Amino acid sequence: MTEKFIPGSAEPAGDNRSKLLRQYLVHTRWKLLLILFMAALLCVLCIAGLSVGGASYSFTESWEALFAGPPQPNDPAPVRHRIIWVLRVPRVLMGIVGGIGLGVSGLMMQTILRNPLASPYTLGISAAASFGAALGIISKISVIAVIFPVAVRQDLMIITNSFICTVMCTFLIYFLSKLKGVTPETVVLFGVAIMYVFEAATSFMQYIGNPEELAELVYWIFGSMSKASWVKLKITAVCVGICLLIAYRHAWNFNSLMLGDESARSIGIDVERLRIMGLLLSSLMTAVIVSLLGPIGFIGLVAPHIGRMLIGGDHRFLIPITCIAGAIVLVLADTLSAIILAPAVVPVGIMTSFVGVPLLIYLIAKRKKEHW
Amino acid sequence: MVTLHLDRVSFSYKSRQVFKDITLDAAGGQILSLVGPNGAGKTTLLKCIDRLLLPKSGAIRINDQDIAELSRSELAKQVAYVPQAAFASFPITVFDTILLGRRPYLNWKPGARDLAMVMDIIERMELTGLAMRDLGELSGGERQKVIVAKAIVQEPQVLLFDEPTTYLDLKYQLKIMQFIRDLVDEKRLCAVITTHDLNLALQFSDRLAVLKGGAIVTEGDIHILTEEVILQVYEVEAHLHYHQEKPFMIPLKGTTLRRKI
Repeated sequence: MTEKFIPGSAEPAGDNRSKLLRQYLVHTRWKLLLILFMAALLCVLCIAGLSVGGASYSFTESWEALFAGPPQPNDPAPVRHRIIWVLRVPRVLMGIVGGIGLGVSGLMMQTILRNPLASPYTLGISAAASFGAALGIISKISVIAVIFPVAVRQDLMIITNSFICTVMCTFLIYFLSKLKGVTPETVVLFGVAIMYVFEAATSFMQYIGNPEELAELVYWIFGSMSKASWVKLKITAVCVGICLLIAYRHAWNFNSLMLGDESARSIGIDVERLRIMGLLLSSLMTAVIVSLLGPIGFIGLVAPHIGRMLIGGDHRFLIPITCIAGAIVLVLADTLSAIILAPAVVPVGIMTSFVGVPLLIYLIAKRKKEHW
Repeated sequence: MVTLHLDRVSFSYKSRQVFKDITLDAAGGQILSLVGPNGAGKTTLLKCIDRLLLPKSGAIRINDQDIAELSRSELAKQVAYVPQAAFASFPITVFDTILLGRRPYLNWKPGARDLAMVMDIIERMELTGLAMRDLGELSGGERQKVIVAKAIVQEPQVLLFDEPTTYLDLKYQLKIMQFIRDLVDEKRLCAVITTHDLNLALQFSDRLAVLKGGAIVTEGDIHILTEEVILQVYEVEAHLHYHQEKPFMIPLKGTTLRRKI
C-alpha cells in the first residue's frame, strides 16, 4: 500500500484483478439466476393457485384453460374455462400485483428509515385503513363527502375512506419525522403509537356497531383476495407498475442510504427528496392495495427480509427479488386459504402470517451471517 | 491545481456558536491537518466544506467557485468526505460499498472504468480477500479502509478525512497516512484531515491549523506547533523531539492538567 499509484490507471490486469472481476461477475450472475429461479417458482405457484378453489382441477386442465384465452359471452367453452378466467385469473394476478406492491413498499420504508421493523403494518398504515373502513361500514361517514359535497356509494365509501386515511396516516408520520431530534428509529415508534390509536378508534367503532355491521367490518379487516376483480386489478397494476418503475430508477440511491445520510449526501444524493419520494410511493401503493383488498399484513415486513437473505442489500437486485418474494407469499397464502377449509375460503390476511412467519424463522435460523 | 479557500466561515447550532470567522487556505498537493481539543469545531468545519452542514456566514470556494452554487452531484465530483465511522444498516458487500463512490458518475450499469477503479483500489488497499464479504462482518479498521477506498474512487479534488486513524492499529495508522500522502502527491489533491494524533499530523502534513473554542489559534507549516502552543491549546506540557528534521511530540508527566486535578 505504500507504493505510489494512481487509482484507475490503465495497468495490465494482474491475476488478483482478474480473479476479483470473475468473483464479481459470478456473484452478479448468481443473483440473476436466483431471481429467475424465484420467478419460475412463482409461475408454478400461480398454476397451483388457478387449480384450487370450490372446484379443483389438475395442473393440465388449468394450463389448458389458461391458454385457451378468456371465453367470449356466447362461447360454448367449458365451465372450467369461465371459472378460471372470471374468478381465478384476476385473483391470482391480484395476488402477484398486491404481493409486489406490499413487498416493495416495505422494502422502501425499511431502507428509507434504516430500520428492519418498518413496514406498512408497523407504521400504522394498515390500522389507518381499517379505521377508514370502519367509518364507512359502521358510521356511514364518507371522508370524501366531508371534503366535497358528493354522494358516495357504500362500497366506494369503504374504499375511498381507507385510501384517504392511509394517505393521511403517511403524511402524519412524515410531519412527525420532521420534528426536532426525531431519528429514523423513533419514526417507527411513532408508527407503532399511531397504530394503537387507530386500532383503539376501530375498536370503538366495533363497540357502537350492530352485529351485521360488525360482521362486515371484521370480514373487511381480515383482508381477502375474493374482493379481487378485473377492474380492481387494472387500477392496482397501473399504480404499482408506475411506482415500481420510479422506485427502481432510484435503486443506486437506496443503496447509498444504507451507509447513512451524510455518506449518501457526500456522493451527491438529495437525501430529503429521496426520503419523501420513497415514503409517497410506498404509501400510495399500500393505500391502493389495502383499500381494495383489506389490510394484508406481514408481506411488507417479511418479503424484503427474504430478499436480503437470498441476495444481499444491492437494490438493483433486491427490488426484483422482493417483488417476487412478496408475490410468492401472497399467492401461496391465497392458495392455502382455498385448500385448508375447502370448499370454504379462509381470508388471506389470516394466512399470510401463517405462511410468512415460518418462512422467515426458517431463513433466520438457516442464515450463516447477520443481516441486520 | 486545486485551491480551497475558506473565507470568514462561521457556524452555529441555533444559539450555540461552534466556530466564527474561520479563514483558511489549502492547495493541491497539500495535506492540511486540523488539530485541537475536543469541541474545537474541527469535524463541524470539515462537514461545512462538504456542505453536509451549511455555514451561517462566510464562503467556501474550490478553484474560486463558491460551493454553495454547486449542485449536490457536482459537489460530489469535487469533494469526498470520509466519516469517522461508517455502519451499514443492511448487508452490503465491500465491492458494492466501494462502487457507491462512483455514484456521481454512474447512470445505471457500472462501466469498465468504474469496475477497473474499484478493483484497483481493492487490490492496492489489500482488501481483495474481503471484496465479496459484507461490510458488517469486517473489523473497525477494515471498514475504515473500505470507506476511504470509496472516497478515493469518487475522484475528488478535495478529500476530507474525519479522524481517519481512529479504528486502526499502529501499523495501519502509518499505512493509511502514507497512503493519503502518496495519493495527494500523485494526483495533486488537497486533503483536509482532523486528528487528535499530533505525531501523525506532524509527520504527514504540509500545513496545520490549530483550533480551540471555535477559533484558529495559529496556522501555518508544521513548525507552528510549538511546546507553548500545545500548552495553550491542550493545557498539557509537552516536549518536541526532532528526528530526521521532523518534530515528534512527547506529552510529559506532571502536566498542568494533572496539577489541576
